[in-house]
Amino acid sequence: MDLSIEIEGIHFKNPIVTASGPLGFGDEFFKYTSSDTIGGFTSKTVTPYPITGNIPPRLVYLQNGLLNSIGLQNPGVDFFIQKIAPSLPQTCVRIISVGGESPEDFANVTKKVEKFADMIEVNLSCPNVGGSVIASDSKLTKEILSACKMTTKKPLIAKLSLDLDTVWQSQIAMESGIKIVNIGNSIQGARFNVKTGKPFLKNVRGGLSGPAFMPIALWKVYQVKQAFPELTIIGLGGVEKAEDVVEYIVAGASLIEIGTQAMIDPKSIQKIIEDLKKILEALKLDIKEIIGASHRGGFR
Amino acid sequence: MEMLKVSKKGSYILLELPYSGKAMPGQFFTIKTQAGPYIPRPFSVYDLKDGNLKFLIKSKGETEKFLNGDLIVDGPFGNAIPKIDDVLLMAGGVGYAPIHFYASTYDFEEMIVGMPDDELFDFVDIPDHCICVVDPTTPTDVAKLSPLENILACGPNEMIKDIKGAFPESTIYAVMEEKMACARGMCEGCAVMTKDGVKFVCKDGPTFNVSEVDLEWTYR
Ligand SMILES: Cc1cc2nc3c(=O)[nH]c(=O)nc-3n(C[C@H](O)[C@H](O)[C@H](O)COP(=O)(O)OP(=O)(O)OC[C@H]3O[C@@H](n4cnc5c(N)ncnc54)[C@H](O)[C@@H]3O)c2cc1C
Ligand SMILES: Cc1cc2nc3c(=O)[nH]c(=O)nc-3n(C[C@H](O)[C@H](O)[C@H](O)COP(=O)(O)O)c2cc1C
Ligand code: FES
Repeated sequence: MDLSIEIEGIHFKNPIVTASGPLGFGDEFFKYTSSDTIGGFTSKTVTPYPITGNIPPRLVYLQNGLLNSIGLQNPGVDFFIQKIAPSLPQTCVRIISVGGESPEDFANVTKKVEKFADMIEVNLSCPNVGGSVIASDSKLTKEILSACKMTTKKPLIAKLSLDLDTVWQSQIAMESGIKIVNIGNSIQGARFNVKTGKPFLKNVRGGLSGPAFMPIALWKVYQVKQAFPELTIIGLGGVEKAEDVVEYIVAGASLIEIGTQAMIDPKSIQKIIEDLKKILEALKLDIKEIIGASHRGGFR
Repeated sequence: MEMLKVSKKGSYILLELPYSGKAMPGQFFTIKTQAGPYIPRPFSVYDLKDGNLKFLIKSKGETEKFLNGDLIVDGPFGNAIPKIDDVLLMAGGVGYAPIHFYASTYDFEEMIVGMPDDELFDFVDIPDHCICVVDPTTPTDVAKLSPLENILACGPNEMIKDIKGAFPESTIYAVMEEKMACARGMCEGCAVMTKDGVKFVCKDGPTFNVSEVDLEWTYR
């Protein structure tokens, strides 16, 4: 069966894309999984200037997930375009994640990275920097998305926050001319040490990822697909196996990103793709035929 | 098959598994099972001899619940501890694991091991000529009597800070620990601040020259 899909003129050989962050810039990941096998790769978020990131601990282990407080550590866009971007893989779709604080920041980074990217993901939703996420400010969000749109012709993805209403955020993205949304970034969460009475993380909250997160993201994908059937959705959060991918697709996602699973077991991505193929063969359906199937009464 | 040996009061576990590959002192493996823990946990090699790989594990954490399952052991990760001349080895608690492997691989001059109580002493094998102390005496208290100026240490954060404060003139290497998720230098989880900026324990360490590490930032 056909796993390929075309999004805004960009061909994905399958719907599996790695998520921004957990794999950094991919140099280690591609030792385990070839870029020939995955649909796309998303870079760590790149900002106008280098960011040191948060003081440790940066991770809290959970039974069914992970809290991270990395704080967008990255070497800054100038180092990125000189040393990293030229060697991004050429045999899958290259998505570069851009970050910053102001519309100028985002436009500046977008301008510098666009020639290395097939698509650009606008990170409006990092849970680990500043006071509130950009996506909570609709005016700023619109200005940022418009600034990026004016800077590049490459397809743009708005990465939304799951801490906020995703239908509302999708509406804002669409009003800014965006046709693809990523649902979404890790959710804010906290854990406390019962021996000391203090939070485990210095910033108290971190970003929740992993399977604990999946039902929430699935519901948001479903809601957005129902509200805006024409919008392309990237489903993201907690995928561990091919069945999880199918859940996202039937909820309404056209592409599926995988973060934490690819990080803790980089070899497993190839198996997820192989298993996905088997599931579709058993169903005798192509990927395109099952996108949003749950909104149409399931498989026919 | 793997073998588990548990200490008298159940606070420590020695895990032994067959392993045909190589590993050097300082390197670590990650351990998990299909059932959990969700994030594989890193453990330093305690010993590798005759195809038997050993880990010394502190119990009562989440990992312990899964040790009877089919283990998925991945590695070795990280860099080997450099061979250090005329070295004083210092260990605290389960930080003894990489120190034990170093001591069974290379020559060393002196070793001081600090442990919370007798339970761990009775459980691990410690070379005859080494000094063992129990809380509240610390390995640092004893090390003040040693003339040696090269130190290799592994133990709790407070111990590493103590050693750096007590021996400003010495060359101190520390096997450091930070929570890890990928163990491969991808996720930026296991950060330490060094004079050259942020480095990662899994990829750049786990052994660092302490004079190059900002322990205040790292262990604030
Ligand atoms: C390079 C490296 C090498 C290492 N080598 C070793 C080694 O050789 N041996 C070893 O034992 N460890 C080693 N570690 C640490 C190891 O990876 C684990 O982090 C550690 O063993 C604890 O993991 P766990 O899953 O068993 O416990 P966790 O489940 O993470 O729990 C750790 C402790 O926290 C307590 N705890 C849990 N929840 C709370 C709460 N809400 N409030 C207060 N306390 C709580 C638990 O009771 C437990 O005592 C190493 C780490 C690194 C980075
Ligand atoms: C260690 C780590 C670092 C991350 N860094 C970024 C980042 O730089 N930019 C971003 O948009 N999302 C980042 N994320 C969020 C992921 O892209 C993803 O939204 C989230 O982890 C949920 O997916 P998962 O459950 O498959 O990991 C990070 C997540 C983790 C665990
Ligand atoms: S554990 Fe991921 S960078 Fe070290």
